[in-house]
Amino acid sequence: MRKSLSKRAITRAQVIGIVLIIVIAIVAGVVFYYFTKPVEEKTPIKIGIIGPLRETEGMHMQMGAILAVEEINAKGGVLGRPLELVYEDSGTTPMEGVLAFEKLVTVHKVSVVIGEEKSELCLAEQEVMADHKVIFLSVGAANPELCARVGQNYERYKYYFRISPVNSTMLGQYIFKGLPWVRDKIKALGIENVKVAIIGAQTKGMEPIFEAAEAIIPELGMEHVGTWRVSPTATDLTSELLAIKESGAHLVLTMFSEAAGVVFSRQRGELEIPVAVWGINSEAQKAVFWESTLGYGNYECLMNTYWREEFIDKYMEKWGEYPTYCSATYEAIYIWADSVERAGTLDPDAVVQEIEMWGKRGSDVMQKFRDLHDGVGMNTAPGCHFEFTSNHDVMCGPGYVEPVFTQWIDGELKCVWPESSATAEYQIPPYAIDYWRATGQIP
Amino acid sequence: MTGGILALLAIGMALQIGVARMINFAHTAFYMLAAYVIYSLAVVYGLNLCLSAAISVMVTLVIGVVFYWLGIRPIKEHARSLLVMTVAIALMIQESIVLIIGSDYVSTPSFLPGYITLFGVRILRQTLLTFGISLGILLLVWMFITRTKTGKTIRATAQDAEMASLLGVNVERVNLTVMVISLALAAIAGIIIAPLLLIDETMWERILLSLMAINVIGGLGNIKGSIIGAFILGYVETMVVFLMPMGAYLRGAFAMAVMLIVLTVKPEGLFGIRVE
Repeated sequence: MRKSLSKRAITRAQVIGIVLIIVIAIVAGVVFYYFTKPVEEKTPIKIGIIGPLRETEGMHMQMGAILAVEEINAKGGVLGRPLELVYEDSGTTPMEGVLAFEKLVTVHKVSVVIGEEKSELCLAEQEVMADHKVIFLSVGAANPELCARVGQNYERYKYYFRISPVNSTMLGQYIFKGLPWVRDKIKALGIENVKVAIIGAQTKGMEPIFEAAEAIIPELGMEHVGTWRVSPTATDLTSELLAIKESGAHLVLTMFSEAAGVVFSRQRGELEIPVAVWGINSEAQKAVFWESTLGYGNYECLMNTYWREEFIDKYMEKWGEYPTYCSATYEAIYIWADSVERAGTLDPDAVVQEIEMWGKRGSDVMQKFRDLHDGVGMNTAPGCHFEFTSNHDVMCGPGYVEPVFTQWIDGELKCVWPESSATAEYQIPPYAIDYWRATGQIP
Repeated sequence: MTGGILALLAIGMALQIGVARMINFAHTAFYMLAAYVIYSLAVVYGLNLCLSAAISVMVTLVIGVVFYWLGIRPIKEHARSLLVMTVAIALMIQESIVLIIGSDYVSTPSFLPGYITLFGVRILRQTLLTFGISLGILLLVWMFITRTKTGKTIRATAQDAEMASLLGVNVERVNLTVMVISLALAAIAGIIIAPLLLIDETMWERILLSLMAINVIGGLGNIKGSIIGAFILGYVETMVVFLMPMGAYLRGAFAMAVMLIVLTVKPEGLFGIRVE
C-alpha cells in the first residue's frame, strides 16, 4: 500500500538539502539587503571638526566640511559607510583645545580630526593626537613647528598633516614675491621712484614680516617712506591714512590679520587715498567685507588661498560666501576619504601611508571620487597638484600649492596674481592715477 | 572728532557719578546698542538714515530706562553689587547683539558721504558733521545744566543730595532725569560715530577704559573736567600717530600715561575737589 506524502519518511539527504537551501536563501537575503540598503542606514564613520566654531574661521571650516561630506555620501560614502560630522569648539586657549580634542577622540570616537586654526592650540592638540594615534589634518594653523615635529619624531607625530595654508615662512616669502610685479605696474605709468608705505597690526605674527619688508623694499629698487604699526583692534585709522598720503607713498604694503584691516580699507576708499594696495588683509577674504566697507574696500588686494572657479561657484551657491583658507576642510576630507578607500581600512597607520602618497602617484587620481574632481585638488591651479613634504607639510612652489593675490574689483573678489592663475587684471585705483597725473608724477 | 565723542560719553558718565553717585559700566554698552540699532534699521531694513537715527535714540532710551529701573535703581546703594550688575547688563546687551545680528563687523553709511580738502588735508564730511554735532550737544547740555531750573536742581543734588531732599527736591526723579540725559548722550554718540567706525560687539569695552581715564583726569563727577579731559585724551592719541607712526598702536598707552601723570600731580583730578 502506497503511503501518503505526510507520512513518507524524509531521508537525511533531503533534510540536508532543505537546510542548505534555507541557509543559502538567508545568506543571499543578507547579502542583497546589505548591498541595496541606503547608505544612511549603515553605521556612519565619524569625522571630528575642531576649531573656533563661533568665529568666522570656524564657520568656514564647518561649511567646507559639510559640502564635502554631502558630496561623498551622495556617492556612497567611504567603505560603504556614510560620513558623519561631529563638532567641538576648541576655544581660545591650549587647555580648551586639548579638552575638545580629547572629547572628539574618547567620547565621540572619531576616525579623524580635522581643523584647528590657531597654531598655539594645534601644537597642544598634537600631543593628544600622538597619544591616541588618531589622524589629525590641520586647516588654518601655519606655524612651521607643527610639521618640524614630524621630522624630529616621525613615529609619534606621523598622524599629523597640514592641509592649509602653506606655513608662515612661505607666506612671508610670497608677500614679497609679487612686489616686483606690482612695482613694475606702477612704473609702467611713468613713476620712476616707487615709494612704499607699510601699515599693519602690531602682533607677534607680523613682527618678522615688518622687519623683512623694511629690508626688502630698498633691495627691490623702491623707497621705503614709513611704517605705521596700529593696534589690531583700531577703529579709526584716518590719522595714519592721512600721514601715508603726506608721505607721498604710491604703494601701501598691508599686514592686517584682524578688524583693523576692514577699517583701513573703508577709510582708504572714503578718503580716496591715492595708493595702490598689496599685502595681507585676512578680513578682506570674507564675502561680508564688501558690505562691511560699504563698497569702499574696492581695489583692496590681499594674499589668499587659491580656489578653482568651480569650487568658488558651488561654495557661493550653497553658503553665499567666498571660501577662505579655513574652507580647506573640504580638501582635507577628500584626501582622507580617498586614502581610506585605497587602504581599505580605517586603521590610522595604514591610512597615514596612503595620505603620504598623495600627489606622488603621477596623475594624482582620486581613486573613488574622480568624477567629483578633475583629478587635482580644488586649491591648486590647473596643471598643479597638491603634495605633502616628507614632514607632512604642504608642498609650496611652482607646480604645487601657491598662495595667490586676490583683489576686490567692483564687488567681486578676483585672482590677479600670479598671472597664470589670474581671473582679472590688477587694478590701481583710478583716483590714485588721477592724483599722480594732477601732481605731475605721471604724464 | 575723537575728543568730541569721548566728551559726549564722558559727560553722561560724569552726571551719573556726580549726581546719582554711581559708576555705570554699562554706559558704553548703550552707545554700542545705538550704533547697532541704526545699522539694523538703515542697512538691514533700508530705512532712511535720519529716521533710523531718531528711532535708535528712542529705542536706546527705552531699553536703558528699563534696565535702570529694574536692575540698577534697586541696588544703587550697594556699590559692589552695582558694579557687578552694570557689567552684567553690558554683557547681556553684547550677547544679545551677537545672537540677533551676529559677530561680523558691520558699518553704517555716512550722513554726509565724501570728503573735503581743508588746507591740503582731506577730511571726511562725516567727521566734520560728527564734530559739529558733538560740540553742539555739549553746548546744549552745558546750557541746560547751568541755565535751566532742572539743571540747577541737578547741580544741587550733586552737591548735597540730602539737603536737596530736605528742600523738597525729588531726588529719585532727578536721578532718573540724569539717567535719561546720560542715555541720550550715549545714544547720540553711538549714532554719530557709527558711520566712522567699525561696529562690533566689543566696541563698548575698548572705549570704557578711555572713559574711566577721562573721568579720573577731569575729576570724578565733574562735567567741565570731563569735557576738558576728553579733548586732552583725544589730542594725545592723535599726536602720537603723527609724531610716532611706528608706535601708533601705543596711542592708548600714552593716553593712560597722561592719566597717571595727572593723578600723580593732582590725585583728585584737574577739576576735582580734594577731600582732606
